[in-house]
Amino acid sequence: MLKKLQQALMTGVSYMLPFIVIAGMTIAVTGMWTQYINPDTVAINTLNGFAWTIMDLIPAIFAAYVAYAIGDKAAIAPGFVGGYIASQPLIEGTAASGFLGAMVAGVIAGYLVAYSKKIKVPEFLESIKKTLFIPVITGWIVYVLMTYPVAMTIGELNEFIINNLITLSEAPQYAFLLGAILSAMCAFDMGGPLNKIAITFVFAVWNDPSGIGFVVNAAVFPGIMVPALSVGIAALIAKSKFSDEEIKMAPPSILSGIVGITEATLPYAFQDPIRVIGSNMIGAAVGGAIMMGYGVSTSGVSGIFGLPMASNIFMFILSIVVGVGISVLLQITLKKRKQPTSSSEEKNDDDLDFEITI
Amino acid sequence: MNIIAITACPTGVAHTFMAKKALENAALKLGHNIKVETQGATGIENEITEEEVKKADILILAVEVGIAKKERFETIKKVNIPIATAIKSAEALIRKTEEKLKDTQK
Repeated sequence: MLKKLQQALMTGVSYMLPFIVIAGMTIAVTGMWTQYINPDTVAINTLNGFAWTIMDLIPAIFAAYVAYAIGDKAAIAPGFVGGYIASQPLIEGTAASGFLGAMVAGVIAGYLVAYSKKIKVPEFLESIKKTLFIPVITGWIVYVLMTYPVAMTIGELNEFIINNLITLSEAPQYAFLLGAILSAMCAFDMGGPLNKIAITFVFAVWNDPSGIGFVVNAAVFPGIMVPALSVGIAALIAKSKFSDEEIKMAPPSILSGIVGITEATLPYAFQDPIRVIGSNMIGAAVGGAIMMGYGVSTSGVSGIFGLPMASNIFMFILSIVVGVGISVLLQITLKKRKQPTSSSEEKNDDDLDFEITI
Repeated sequence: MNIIAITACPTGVAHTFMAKKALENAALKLGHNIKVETQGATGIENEITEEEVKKADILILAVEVGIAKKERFETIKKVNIPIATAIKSAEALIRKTEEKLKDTQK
């Protein structure tokens, strides 16, 4: 059950990502245009406005695919409906429940559909059930739940979280800590579940009008960029401590770090998990602390693309460079000289456990 | 063994394809047939056909997200593992799968 939920949330994140990329990059590029070239280009401003429309749709997309992972194709529509309400509250006096609400919408829609598929109806009603009853009735139920109880409770909660985040990010003594934690989470499992939780947290506040989303967004950049950059640079500097293969992978790894593909770090981390991941987490945490401590924000996503839109380009670069510097230094000092090649690969044979199911 | 496998991770650009490669290499080394379908950022690639499902002994699901077209596999034996397992210890995974499969057939 828990695993199923986790898988559903990851599915939502997975399908939502391309939308975030379109919206984020469009806002970044149009923002650059208005800032540096011409603030009054109508076409550019229209495009920027449209990017914000996409942004408002993101909770709906997320909810739709969370629902899809649970209740299959038929759950997409009610999920979308619920997620949309999460970002656009329908009645006065209720707040947008945002990403949290969208999560609830997706789960409710998914299970509603999964459950109603099991309800037995006479043969002749079967096709009507699929085309009419399921979408309409689940859609209505999700609508009611999202518009009233969820908007009232989770909407409040969401507002509370965002307000507190804003307070936190404005007080440097807490902001640096939050930045450090988020960045370290990203660096910890390099694209794995913990990384996605940190990123999900960023997206959770992504479309808040206060712009807080862009501040936490900037704070995870060191976590995304430092690991792959550092292992590559460390391998090139301290060739005696890395295997030939690791040295050969270094340039592509550095490139991956620059464009924000943290996963390139994985082969290095598998070889020497504690030293590599530890160094990366410390480096990323320091970078994240600097980034958020100075309140740098950006609307760009993934690696170097965040740079042009950073509110403080110098601090952005500095926090990455410091993070990489620390991590490289730690790895070079901590890593042992390479041993003659041993087949360490199969040693975790025994903790492998799984069941065969049908 | 005839193995079919699906790999899928949330971002769908790195882990998905690393797992595919690891599984293919391991199967080759251990002398099994394998076909790995990836459900990455661009959708399904190297799609498993109905014919292949029929021939296969086992389906390895190294997925962290809900997968598309899962109705194809209703009747086949499957193994569910985290995608990291496929990347890290594909050989051990396949060896163990073979053992377990033999146990179930006894």
